[in-house]
Amino acid sequence: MRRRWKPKNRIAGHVEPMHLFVTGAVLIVSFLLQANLLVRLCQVVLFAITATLAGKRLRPLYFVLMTLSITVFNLLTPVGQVLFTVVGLPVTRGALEQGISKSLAIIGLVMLSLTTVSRELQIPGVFGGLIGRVFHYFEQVLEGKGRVSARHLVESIDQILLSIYPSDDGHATATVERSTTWVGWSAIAILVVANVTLAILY
Amino acid sequence: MPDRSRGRSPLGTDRQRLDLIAFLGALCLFFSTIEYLFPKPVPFFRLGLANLPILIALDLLAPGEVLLLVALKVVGQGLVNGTLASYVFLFSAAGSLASALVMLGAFRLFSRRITLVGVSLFGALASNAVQITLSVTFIFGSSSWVIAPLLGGLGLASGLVVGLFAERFRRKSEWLRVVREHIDAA
Repeated sequence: MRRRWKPKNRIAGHVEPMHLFVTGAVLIVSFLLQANLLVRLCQVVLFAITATLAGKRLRPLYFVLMTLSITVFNLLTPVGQVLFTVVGLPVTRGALEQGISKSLAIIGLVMLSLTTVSRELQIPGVFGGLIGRVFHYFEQVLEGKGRVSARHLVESIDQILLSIYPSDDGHATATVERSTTWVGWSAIAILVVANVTLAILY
Repeated sequence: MPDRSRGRSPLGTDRQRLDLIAFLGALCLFFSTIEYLFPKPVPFFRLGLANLPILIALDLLAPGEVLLLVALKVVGQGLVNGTLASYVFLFSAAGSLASALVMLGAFRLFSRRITLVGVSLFGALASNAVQITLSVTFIFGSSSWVIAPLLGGLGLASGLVVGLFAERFRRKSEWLRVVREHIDAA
C-alpha cells in the first residue's frame, strides 16, 4: 500500500491540546474580523505554516482549486467597477474582492482548525469517554490497514474486524498527559497578540 | 432475516451497546482513511465509505443509538482530520445528520421491501441536498446552482457504490454474523 509523507508534529511537545484549542478559538475571532485582504492573506500563510508545524499534510492543489472555484462563482454576479472582460464575462472589482475574501476566510479557518485541533484533545463527559473508546478501537483497526486489498475488499476487511471485535479487553484507553512549556506559552502569546493587533489596526 | 423490530435495541447491556457503537464509530474513521484506495473523478468528490458502518448499524442499533454513532463519526473525523473548528465540520455534521435521519426513515418505513442500496441512495440524496444548499448559501453564491445537478449526480453515484458495497458486506461478512450471534447470546 502507498505510504504518504506526513510532517512531524513540532507543536504537540510544547502545547497542551486544550490550550491549543482555546488559542484557536481566540484566533478565529481576530481572523474573521480582519477586513484587509493582504493582511488576511498573510494570516492564511501563517496558519498554513503552523498547520504544517502541527504535523498536518497540506494539499496545495485542493486549496488552489477551492480559491479559483469560489472566486469564479462570485464573478458570475457582477458588483462594482468593471476591471476587464474574460470570454464575455465582465470581471468586477466588488465581485473579485468578495470572492477572494470569502475563499481566504474559508481556507484560513481550515488551516487554523488543522493547527489547533488534534486527536489528543479530550472532550469531557460521557461523550468524551466514548470518543476515547472510538480512538482506542481505531488504533487497533488501523494496525490492520496494510492488509486491506482493493480487489478483495470485503474479505480483507472482514479478516481485520474478526481479529479485533468482539473482545474482552476492558475499557482502558491510553491518555497522554502533557503540559504547556514556556516555549509553547511564548508561541501562543506571539500568535494571539500579533493577530489581535492586526485585527485592531486594519 | 435481520431483526427490524422498531425502537428495540438488540444488544444486552448498556456497556455492550456503547462498546459496539464505539467500534462502529472507529470503523467509520477507518473507512474514511481507506477512501484514497479509489480514484476521484473530481477534486472535491468523496465516495462516502465512512457511511458504510451507519448503513450496517441500521440493522443492529436503535434509532437513538444510530444518531449517537453519527455524532461519534462526525466529531471523530473532525478530530482526526483537524477540521473540528472549520466549515468542513459544519458541512459534515449537517450532511451526516440529514442522511442518517432519512436512511432511518426509509429503513423503517419500507422495512423488508428495501435493500441497503435503496437506503444508501436515500441517504445520499438527503446529504447532497443539504450540502449543496449550504455551499450555495455560504461559499459559492447563488450562481453555483448551475452545478447542483452535477454534484447531485456524483452524490447519487457514490451512494449507489456505497450501498452496493454495504449490501455485499451484509451478505458475505463473517464478522457481522459473529456480532449478530454475540448480540443474540446477550
